[in-house]
Amino acid sequence: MSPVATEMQPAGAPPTAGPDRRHPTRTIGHQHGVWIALALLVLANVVLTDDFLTLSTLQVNLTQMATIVIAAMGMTMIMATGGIDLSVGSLMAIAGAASGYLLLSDTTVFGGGWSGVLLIVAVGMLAAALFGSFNGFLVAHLRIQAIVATLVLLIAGRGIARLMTNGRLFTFDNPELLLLGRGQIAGLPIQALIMVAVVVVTLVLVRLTTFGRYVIATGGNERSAHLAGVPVRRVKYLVYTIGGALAGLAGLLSVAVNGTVDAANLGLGIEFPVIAAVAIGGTRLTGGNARVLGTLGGAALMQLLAYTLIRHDIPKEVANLVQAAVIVAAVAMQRRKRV
Amino acid sequence: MKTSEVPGRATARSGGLARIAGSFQFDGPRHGAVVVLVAVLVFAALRYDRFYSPFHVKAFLSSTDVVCIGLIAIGMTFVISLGEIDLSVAGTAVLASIVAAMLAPHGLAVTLAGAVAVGFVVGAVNGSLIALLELPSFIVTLAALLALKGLALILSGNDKIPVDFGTQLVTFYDGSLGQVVPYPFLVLLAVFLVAWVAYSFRAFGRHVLAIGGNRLAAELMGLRVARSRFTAFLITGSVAGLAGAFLTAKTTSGNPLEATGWELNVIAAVVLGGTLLTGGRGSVPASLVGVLLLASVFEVLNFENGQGALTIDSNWQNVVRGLFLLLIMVVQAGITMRGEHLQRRRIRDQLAVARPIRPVADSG
Repeated sequence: MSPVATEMQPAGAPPTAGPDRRHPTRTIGHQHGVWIALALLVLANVVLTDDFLTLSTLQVNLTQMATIVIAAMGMTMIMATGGIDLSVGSLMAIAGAASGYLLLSDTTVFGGGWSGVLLIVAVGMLAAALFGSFNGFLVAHLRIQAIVATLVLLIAGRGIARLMTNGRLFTFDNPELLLLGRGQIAGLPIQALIMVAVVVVTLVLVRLTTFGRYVIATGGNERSAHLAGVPVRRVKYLVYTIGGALAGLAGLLSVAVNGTVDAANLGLGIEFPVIAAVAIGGTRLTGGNARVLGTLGGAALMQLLAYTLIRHDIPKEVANLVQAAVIVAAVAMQRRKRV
Repeated sequence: MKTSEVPGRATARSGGLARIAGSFQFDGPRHGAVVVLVAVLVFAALRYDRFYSPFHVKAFLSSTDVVCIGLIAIGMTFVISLGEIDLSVAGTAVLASIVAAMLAPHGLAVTLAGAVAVGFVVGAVNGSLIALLELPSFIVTLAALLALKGLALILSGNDKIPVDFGTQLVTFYDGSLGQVVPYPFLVLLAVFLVAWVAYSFRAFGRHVLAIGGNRLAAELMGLRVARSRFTAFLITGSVAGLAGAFLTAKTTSGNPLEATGWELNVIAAVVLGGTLLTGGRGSVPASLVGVLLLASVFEVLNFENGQGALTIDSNWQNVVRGLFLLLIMVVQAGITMRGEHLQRRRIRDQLAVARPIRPVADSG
């Protein structure tokens, strides 16, 4: 029984990981395709867009991508085990709805302040983690295929969130929570700093801990991982729970940005940009590898592209076409050569 | 040991029914779906007077949940059996639906041909990117979904395109055999039969399953892997195009905002039928069972709502839909595990039968 490798191949797939000595250029494209595309897009913007190299550009883009990146960190781990979570958007709504109860009463019960915000965030994340662990239970213990197992909460979760808020949209004026969404430290949005923190923690978790190795081993070959003593069920259960908690955090951040809890629209349709970011980043859908930084790059690429198209007044429908082409091009660059 | 020998021998020696029962291979996911479907249909018969009235049967069989999702699910079975996925089907359908709405005044044949041609082209583009350039299908088709919806919006000028009730497309869709079996359902059945033959009784289906099961092995065996993968995407594209034309007929308009989320319904139906998303196992009839199962569950919910026994607002309705999906999956998971357990026991029994003949007996 071999020790767990950092990157495992599914049965039948040709070896692709690691530097390819015969094709150095291809390796660069494969490993860093996202970053090359991103660099090209930045260059194009420097030439074509007025006032591109300003702090406000950075702020706008970081703010826009923070929620997607945070949700995508959980998704990266889930996809590394060979799973998927279609219910991220609904989990965001559930987190928002759960925190809504506290938001309506926090000034009286908790006297406001940062401890109140901490409690709000904790409750929201906990609620989303609870539902995420339900996904994990279906996938890990009942062995239902992830794409249908999480479809349940994609359909039902938003209904639950709307029932929690009685179908109403409500605004709040908790100054600390609003600051969390809109404030800045040293010119950088607080949201973006939280995003960076989540990315760093995920990176450490995936690269430096046993749990990270277990995640990759589970996705690489579940059966051999199990035979090698990896607690496959617990690993799968945990990634969905963590994914739920992170979706919850993302949901709370977008609540904080908007100053409203709107269960009907919070995180609606976010599963596609999240999954696209992970996949563009180079994490395989079949599992067995986790490209945490790639996911960050993927989200950045999508965001900058949307920003560029909006800045140049390109209609949304045409923008869709351009985005589609760039996604395919980015993936084509990291194409793996088959034997 | 002695006790487990007896049933194995008894089944093998007694003829007739017992032999058939003995040769019946229980396939958990597939047969689980059939059992649940029958249960749902029986439940509907007992609970609702009008569920099997000709009028309702016709309405049910011509709903988009059966016809359009069914057509696409049949095509998707090939793609999923390859271990790939096609998320662009809703985009293909909506673009084809716009084209069909534009072509509707020119007669049925032109309309259907135009819609299928749209799907064929989309399938060819997807197929080339996936089979020839070796790009991952999930991303390519996700991007295609985005692009096709954009194209549909551009082509329709961001608005609905109304279709006349008198057009052949609409009258064909509303027509039926003996006031019960709608023509579009017959089309679905025809596509189903062709697909079933291609999947289960022709080399193409075997190749698809071989590639989905172990691609490297299929390549080493000399199968034309790229060609089979390309063809599979041509199939999903074409059936999605046809589904788009039927969508136009059903809603009597080409609407760029229709068909949202179809890809997930289709995948849910195929997977409920028992086809493995990882490829290598599946069947066309199973996918049809999955489609009917999903559609009849949603229909039962509609009836429940209509009877006034419980009035469900839209939020609750989604929760209940999700719970029903969950219920089906849990029941199926239970049946699957039970089936696997039985299968293991049968193998063990057979080993027990074989053991006396072989001199070496081990406990494996």
